Amino acid sequence: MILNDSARRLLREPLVHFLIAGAAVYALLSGRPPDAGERRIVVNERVVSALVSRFEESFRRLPTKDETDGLIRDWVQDQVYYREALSLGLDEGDEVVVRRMRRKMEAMAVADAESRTPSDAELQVMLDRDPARYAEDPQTSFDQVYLGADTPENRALAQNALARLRRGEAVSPTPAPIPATFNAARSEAISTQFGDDFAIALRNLAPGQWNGPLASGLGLHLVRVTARTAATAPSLQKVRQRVENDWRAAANLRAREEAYARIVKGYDVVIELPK
Amino acid sequence: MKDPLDGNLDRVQVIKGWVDAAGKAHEKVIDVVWSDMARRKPVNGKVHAVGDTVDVQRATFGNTIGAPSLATVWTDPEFDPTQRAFYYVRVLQIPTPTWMAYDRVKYGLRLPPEIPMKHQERAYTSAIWYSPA
Repeated sequence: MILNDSARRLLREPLVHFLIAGAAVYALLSGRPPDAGERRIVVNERVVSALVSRFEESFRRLPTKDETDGLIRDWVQDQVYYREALSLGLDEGDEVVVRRMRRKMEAMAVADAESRTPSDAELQVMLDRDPARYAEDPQTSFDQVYLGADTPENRALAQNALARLRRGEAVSPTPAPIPATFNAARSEAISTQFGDDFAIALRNLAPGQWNGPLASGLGLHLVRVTARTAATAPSLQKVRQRVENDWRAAANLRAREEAYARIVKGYDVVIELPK
Repeated sequence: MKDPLDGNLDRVQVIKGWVDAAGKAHEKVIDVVWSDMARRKPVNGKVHAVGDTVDVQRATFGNTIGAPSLATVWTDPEFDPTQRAFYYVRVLQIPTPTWMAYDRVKYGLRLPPEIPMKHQERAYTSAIWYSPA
């Protein structure tokens, strides 16, 4: 009887319940391999052929047997680390992961625009909207005589030198590593060498005659414009690639913005600025 | 030759380096060509400072001093054909405001006094090495 009583008391103990339940669970699960779901990594033909073709893309040949084994080993390591890191939550709050995921979403959004080829009519509309953007840079050919730094003395001497040049006499320039003649120079190149003010002043000179002195960032110059090509109205045929690039950039931007607007609608964004 | 948008040039220097018989290293800075040479005569082999047009309050400078380009031919008067040596050239600009000075004006900052407000920017060539034949 005493034994019976203590046995009944024992059966009421929560610890005993726990131990029995634990033993039952253990018995159920023991002998089962740890391959359920996320903990199983399968290297099948699809994986291997993807690895091989990526290798072939980089090295322009098929991998050897050893190299293939290496690729597989590395892929398995990737998977193990990746899954383990995810289960540890290492992707949380990682700026690089966040940015990468955003790029993938954006790439999905622009995939359509990226694969479309714009029609000539569409491009022509873009070209007509801003022809100056695609116009060829005007080119200027000119001769120049450098007269040294921009000082009052040199300015006075410049008048004399200009008169001599106009009479067809020679003037020896102040020695400096500046070419005496420029052939079909783009205004950008002229700006780089002489500064923007000089390039603009040069644009307003009538060709054929010595003029000046023009001041540049280097000093004073006497200048004779010999030839000039005007900015030409661009034909679509010539600038098609540039217009298409702009078209694509605009289309991608629009697609990204539309996709974002669609997604963000499902979110409640609260911005709490510090007071 | 200066940059057309930037400050004029103050001077060009040659820096010579050599090791003497006692194994001691020497370096010598020689001013070889500079702006306004008629008025700036060297004293004891040194040319005095070019001057200073920097307005720190407004972070501006003027190209009223210095030269747009400097050129010369220089021969080492102390050249010793039996001695190894290196030479390189250094070009000094006239004083200009530092980027901190520009930022100070643009953003209306108050900066501690140890921040330099002007400096002379410089450009270096690579060295040439002379070895006795």
